[in-house]
Amino acid sequence: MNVLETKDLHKQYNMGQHAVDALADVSLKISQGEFVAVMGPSGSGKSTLLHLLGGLDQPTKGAIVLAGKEVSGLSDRQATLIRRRNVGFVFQFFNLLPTLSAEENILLPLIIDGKSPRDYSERLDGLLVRIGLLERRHHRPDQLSGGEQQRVALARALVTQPAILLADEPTGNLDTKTGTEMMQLLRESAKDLGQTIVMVTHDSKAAAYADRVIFLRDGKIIEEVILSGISDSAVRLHQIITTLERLESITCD
Amino acid sequence: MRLTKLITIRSLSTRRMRSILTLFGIVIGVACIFAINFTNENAYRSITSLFEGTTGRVSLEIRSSANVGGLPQDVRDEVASNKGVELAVGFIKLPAALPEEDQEQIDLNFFGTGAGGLMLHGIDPLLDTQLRDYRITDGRFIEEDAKEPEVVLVDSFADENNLLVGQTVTILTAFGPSDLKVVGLMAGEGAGLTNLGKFGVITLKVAQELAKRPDELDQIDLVATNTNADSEALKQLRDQLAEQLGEEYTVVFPASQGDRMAKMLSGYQIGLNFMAGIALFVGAFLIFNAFSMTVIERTRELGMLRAVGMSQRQVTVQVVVEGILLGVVGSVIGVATGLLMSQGLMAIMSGLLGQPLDTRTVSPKIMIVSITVGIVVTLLAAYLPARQAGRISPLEAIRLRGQKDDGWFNRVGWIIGLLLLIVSAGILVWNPFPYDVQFRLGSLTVFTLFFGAMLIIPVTLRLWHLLSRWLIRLLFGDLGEIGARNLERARRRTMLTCAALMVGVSMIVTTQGMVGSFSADLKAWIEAYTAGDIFVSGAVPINHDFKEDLESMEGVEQAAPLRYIEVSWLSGDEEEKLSLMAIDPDSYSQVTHFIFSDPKTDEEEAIKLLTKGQAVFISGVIAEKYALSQGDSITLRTRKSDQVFTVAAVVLDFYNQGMVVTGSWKDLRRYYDINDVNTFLLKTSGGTDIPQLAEKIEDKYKDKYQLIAESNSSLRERADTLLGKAFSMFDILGILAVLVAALGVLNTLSMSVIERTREIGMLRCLGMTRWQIVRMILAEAFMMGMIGGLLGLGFGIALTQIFLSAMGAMSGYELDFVMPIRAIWLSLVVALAISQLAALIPAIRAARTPMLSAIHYE
Repeated sequence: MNVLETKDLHKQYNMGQHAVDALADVSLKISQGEFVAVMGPSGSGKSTLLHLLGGLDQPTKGAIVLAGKEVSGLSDRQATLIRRRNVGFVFQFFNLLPTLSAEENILLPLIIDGKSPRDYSERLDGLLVRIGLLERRHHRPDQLSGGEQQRVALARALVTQPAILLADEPTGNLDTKTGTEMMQLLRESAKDLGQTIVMVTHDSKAAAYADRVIFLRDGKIIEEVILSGISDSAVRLHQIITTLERLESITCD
Repeated sequence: MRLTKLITIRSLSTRRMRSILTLFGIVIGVACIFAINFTNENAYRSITSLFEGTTGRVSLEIRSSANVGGLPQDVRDEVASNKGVELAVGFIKLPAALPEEDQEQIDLNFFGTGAGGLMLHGIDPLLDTQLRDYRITDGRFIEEDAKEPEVVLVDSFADENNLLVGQTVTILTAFGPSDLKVVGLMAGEGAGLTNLGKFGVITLKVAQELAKRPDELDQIDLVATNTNADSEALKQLRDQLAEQLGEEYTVVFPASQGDRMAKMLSGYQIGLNFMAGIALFVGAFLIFNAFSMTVIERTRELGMLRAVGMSQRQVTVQVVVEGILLGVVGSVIGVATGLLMSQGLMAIMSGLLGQPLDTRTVSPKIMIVSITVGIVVTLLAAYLPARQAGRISPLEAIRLRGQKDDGWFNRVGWIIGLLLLIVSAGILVWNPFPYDVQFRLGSLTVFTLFFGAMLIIPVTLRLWHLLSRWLIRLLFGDLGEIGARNLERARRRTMLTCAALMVGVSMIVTTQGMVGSFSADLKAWIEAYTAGDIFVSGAVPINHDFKEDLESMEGVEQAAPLRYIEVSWLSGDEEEKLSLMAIDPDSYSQVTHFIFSDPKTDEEEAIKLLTKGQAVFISGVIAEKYALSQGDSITLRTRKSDQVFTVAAVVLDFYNQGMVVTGSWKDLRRYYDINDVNTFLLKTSGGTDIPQLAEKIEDKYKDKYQLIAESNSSLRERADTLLGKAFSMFDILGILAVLVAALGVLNTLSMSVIERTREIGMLRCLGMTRWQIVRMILAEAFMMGMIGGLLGLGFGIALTQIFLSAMGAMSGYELDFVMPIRAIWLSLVVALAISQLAALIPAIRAARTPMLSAIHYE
């Protein structure tokens, strides 16, 4: 079953007197529980794609269907409500509220939705165990390391059990070790919880955790690599790097 | 200079809103200081120039010690013969009125009531013109040996009454109408300022005839050969003359009259000055706030400047230069704004004084002082943020956004605050110093009290949050909790904003508290003072027998005569000026009632004693200030030597700021030879149309006395309005302070929103609607309003009690503290409403933050 589908997605920005096509004719389908990475050089449109998928922006043309509902062309309020219940976000810079504890940050989307945190204590505990921060649930962000903060951010993204989790450079602000831990968590979420994930990344090693990697250039999908059948992480990584090199050489030509 | 142009000036013009807010703080503070000082100076100058204008070259004045009655004319010759006296000139005062003069209302001002009228001085034309300036604008001056009685009037008075040179004018005196020929008009300056321009001069001989006081003078003015007011020689001459003339006469410096009136105003003026100081303090808060914000906002920019080689000192200097530029511009605008404000203030002051103030002449000194104060305060307020700016590390700026609170401030700030609070409260409550030191120290101590309270705010934020959690949740939901917690993120900024609100609110509560406490007593007194149904006042003294004429009119049940005179009270070695209100106790107690300070006073017995004579009622102010009570005695100087009067009772009376005693008509006649009346209080019979009766009285006697009859309800209304006006200035300052504080809230939240741009974007990504963002910011503002409001309320009540107690110690009169219930509600509502209104703009701005740019915001 497709959780997310886009049809001929188009996004144009006006930069002074010129119009720039950030995305052009992007059509893709993402199935339930799939982990998709989106890669591409700067200006390729990958962040734009993520923003459109998350309802943070509206396409110029085309359609986005999320969990069976068309989300393109909605009003801000409608898009907000859909985003609240169906989309989880993990940002590069964590973006936790410094005045809230780890568990309060995790519960934040539910609080925003007017739900009583008490009704979700079991879910909360499960997430805290998953991210390994049960003992530090009452700590504030300034008492947690970068990796711990990003894990809290991940738990926050998962607490509403969203249809899709969007991650924008989730390892961008982490060192190699914590980055690897983060990616393992994401991978486990996709596998154990059936969580559908779309991740934008520059990092080939991070992308190697995905089931599929989509390559963008100049706003268009130029290549897709399926990794789901490959169990060896080194092979996955090699596949990605090879593809990137090939795509780069095409550019140079 | 290049750096200043490139960095400082550009920063000011880029951050226009912030610059304007900072300027506003400076403008408000400087405008208040200027307007109040300008008004005070003008009021003082107006009073003293009035007396200086009328006194001319006079070095000394000689009057009867009893303050009433005259001096024999030959005393002038005795004085003139003294070595050291260049010139001695006597004159007589003749209160008069024009029969057709149209005055509808009794004059009411800070110093009491009056029926206006015309004051004529009977002078020696040759000698008096050597003392005083009479600038003739039409016709000529009076001549000693004229064929018919002549008068020179002030030109503005003549204009108002359509009088021309050559005309014969009929004037009314206590002895009936008389005709005078108008031979000239004089300018309303110098001597023409007497009686606010309702003034004229006739010859001494004519005046003595009209007043039926042959060979009598009211005052002798003399010019000494040594005219230096501070000279020993003049003081010696004064003492010599006093000894020569004996106790029957007093010899005084002419300025003393003006000084007395100025002193009466001084308490009020000191209050105004104090409030101006508070306004400046609140303005300083805003400036400090705004500068702190600017430094935070420019952290990255300043860090980058440091990275490219700008030294700490250079960065600090740039921020200081910003302060100087804003200080100069703001102070100049502040002075201009103050000029406008002062027009309104002077209109109020003019009404209180009962005379116009010169609104055109601006003292350069006040302008310079105001501008200097504005610049200095701006620099002081900008200094700490400037130093902080200098200490920004290049690394910090590149790595992080926002400014962390200094660790030392969090650790030590509250200790300093607590110490300041305890010491200031101790000084204010304990009051160990002499009262003039107390007052100056008290003003400073209030500032340190607020400052100490401000420094404690950061450590109490968590506690405030815990105590108000239920309320925040109730009003704003769970998201409100998130908003409220944001206060703890920038403790110093929160501290500044809450403190500004605290000061503004406490000003409102304090002024309302003091007004309430004063009003309670004042209103009771006004009610008694304007008791009865009709207040009848005459421009000329009215014979006491007129009482029967009034009582014979239909509708008049009782007429109680009143006469006010100034008397000298001999208290030990000192002589104090008092007002004596002479009454007919029997008729007075039928028309109105006394308010006895001791409710256990036997009213009947007290009135009996007063009627018998040789007894007085003293005011509560005198009783408390001089520790007198019923049964004690006081000595008053009369025309027939010094007389001892028994204190029959202590009553509530604020006439002449409480320096008043009530005596009987019998004693007035016996000891002061006076039988004429200023005022009658009338009681009417039931069902009488009071305004109609008042008009009837005026009409019937206008040719004889030029009376003004006003219903007491109308007079009371006007007295209430006057009281309201007197205190309105304090209310205005309180409101201004709260407005400035509101700008502080706006400033703080704007900065808070800027700092949290990415966070707000994230919250929108998580599904927070725009309205939820607004509610969150409003919750944050609500917390600030609540903290500032409650602290302001607490300090306001405490300060009211402290001020009342201090004023009691200074004046000797204790006022009861009246809890300002209305002010309590008002101040809380104001603090919360202001904080919410001020938060709207930043909240809406936050809600409109575009998500995408927000999450990528650096």
